[in-house]
Amino acid sequence: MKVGPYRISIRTSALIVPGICTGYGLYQYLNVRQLPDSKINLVLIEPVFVMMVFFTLWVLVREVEFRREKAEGEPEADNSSKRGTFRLWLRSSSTKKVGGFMLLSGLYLGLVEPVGFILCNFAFLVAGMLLLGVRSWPLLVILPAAATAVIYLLFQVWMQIPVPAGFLDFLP
Amino acid sequence: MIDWTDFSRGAAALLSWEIPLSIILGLALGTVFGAIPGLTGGMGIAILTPFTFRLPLMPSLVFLTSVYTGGCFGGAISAILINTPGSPASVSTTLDGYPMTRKGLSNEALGISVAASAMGGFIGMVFLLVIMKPLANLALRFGPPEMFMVAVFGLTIISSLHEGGFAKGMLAGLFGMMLGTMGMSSTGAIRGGFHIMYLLDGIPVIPALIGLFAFSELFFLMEKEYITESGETIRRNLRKMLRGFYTAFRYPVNVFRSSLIGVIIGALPAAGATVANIVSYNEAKRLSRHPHTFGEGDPEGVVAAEAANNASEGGAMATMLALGIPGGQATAVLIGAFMLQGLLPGPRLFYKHMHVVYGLISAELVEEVLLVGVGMIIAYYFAGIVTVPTRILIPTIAMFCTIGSFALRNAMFDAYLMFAFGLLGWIMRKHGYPVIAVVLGIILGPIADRELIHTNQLFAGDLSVFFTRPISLALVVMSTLAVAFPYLVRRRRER
Repeated sequence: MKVGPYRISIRTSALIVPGICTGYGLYQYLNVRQLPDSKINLVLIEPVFVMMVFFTLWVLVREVEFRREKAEGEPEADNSSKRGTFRLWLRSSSTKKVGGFMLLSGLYLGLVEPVGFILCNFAFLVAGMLLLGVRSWPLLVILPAAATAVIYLLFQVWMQIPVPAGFLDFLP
Repeated sequence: MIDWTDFSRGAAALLSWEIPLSIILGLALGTVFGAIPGLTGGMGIAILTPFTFRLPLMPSLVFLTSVYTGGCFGGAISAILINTPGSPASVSTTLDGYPMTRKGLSNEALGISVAASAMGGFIGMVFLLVIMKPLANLALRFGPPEMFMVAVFGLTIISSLHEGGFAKGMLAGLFGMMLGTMGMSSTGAIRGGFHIMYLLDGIPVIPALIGLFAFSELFFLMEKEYITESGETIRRNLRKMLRGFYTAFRYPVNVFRSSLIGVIIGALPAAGATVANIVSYNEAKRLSRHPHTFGEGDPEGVVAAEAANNASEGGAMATMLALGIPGGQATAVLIGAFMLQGLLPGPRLFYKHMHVVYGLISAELVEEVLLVGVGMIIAYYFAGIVTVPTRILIPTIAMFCTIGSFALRNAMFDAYLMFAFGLLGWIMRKHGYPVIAVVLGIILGPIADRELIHTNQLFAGDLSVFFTRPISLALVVMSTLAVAFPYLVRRRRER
């Protein structure tokens, strides 16, 4: 946004957390307002929501950048390096690892119930270690097998907390 | 105050070979339970109670209280080594314990935590012995306004968090409080929760805690070879652990103050070790000559947090034994264990079985001494975690995070929730928001909400009650000073 000789801008990523916080606060506030006994249930939620809005504005004001526009004839700022930095970040090995691990974890959580804990956990540990750079095959087999067995025995057998069985529902 | 005849009778009941065995076994199992994220000391007592059915009275009770003591300490091990509080009661231990590990001081931090836990627990038990009855009576004078102010006082720590600045800390804390109000309120209304059955009871604390602290940390660990900042492997070292152990003795005032806070808050029903841990850390930081070093690996932070949560056991036991009121999950299960042995905690226990009470307290004092040895040995073996490369550690911790969250209610939903909180924690930390503020909000928000609703109902919406009741007024003044003080100090330093 341009105001006089200044360009006011805010990084889009700076909006993510305030957006999540205030978005949920608004949902909760509106939800409780619709209840029949909303007054008593809002006794803490209302002031907390008002304060959330206040601190969201405070955070956003601090994130806003004011930049003076260049006068005519002055060379334009070179933004290509910024774009380059973003591309580099996107292509960096750590970003790929983080993204890959997020996907892998999501897949693991999604498949534990239908496939079963034993198979899924073993596959997750092998895939996770491969993704992060473990290349020793004995380690890739022994550690996941041992960890899965220990967890299974600890929870299923000793503490009698049933873990999802999936395909292996014939096991004790 | 102490009936020495009953005391000697109770202490004499401990002179059998079964007692030290029960203590050592209970402490070891409790410590392991406490150290595994997702399992708590309270859960340990619940699981192990059936094994005590056939034991005689004293060994069975001593065994279960040892599990409780070990569980209180065990949470510190994973809080220090992998930034995951083994139980919510160690939430503030992560604030300085994990930064110490990243600086390569994991051995020292573990030694400090053992010493602070044992000292805090011992002081708590001495308090229990001396002021059991008056303390229990004082706890009964805490009505809804006072409990609301205790929760607010606990939340004031947010104002002194350095990470991200005041506004980001407050926004994160308020967000946590809002999340904490999810689920069924004390009026019976269902608030928020996206119509998900598993959220009817509100946000489960343990998956949120594991996600925000542990799972989010995994994404940051991917950029490193080892947990430590320098990338060096810090081998477990008993000599360094002992050095850390002696370090804790350099802060006697901090230990005593934190223990006192722990005993008082521990005696309040529904407050317990977690609130004690948070409040005492906050107080240690506020009263420190160097508050800016808190959160960056200050041993005083670990001392305050650990002394308080272990001392809270003394307070919780006072309320449980004298009034029969369980302060939390662990004491609730302990009451059940007492009942299995034909005893009912409460005033009658004092009248009829005072020697059992004294015997138990004497055993607790011995437990705190033996915790030094047992805690050191278990912490020493756990300390090996920092020598494991992150490429192996990350998938393994992720597995523990998942199964620990799942085990809480046998529900995969809790594991999904943990994952969602993990992503949220990662995003928040990337943008400089302190996730500890969210956790404080989730833990203290429901207490504040419930007690404010009760206050409103009891006093017909008259909020002047906070200023007319002496304990509440004192807490209002302390909370106001707690918020204003760090802000004013920061302003003064900036000038």
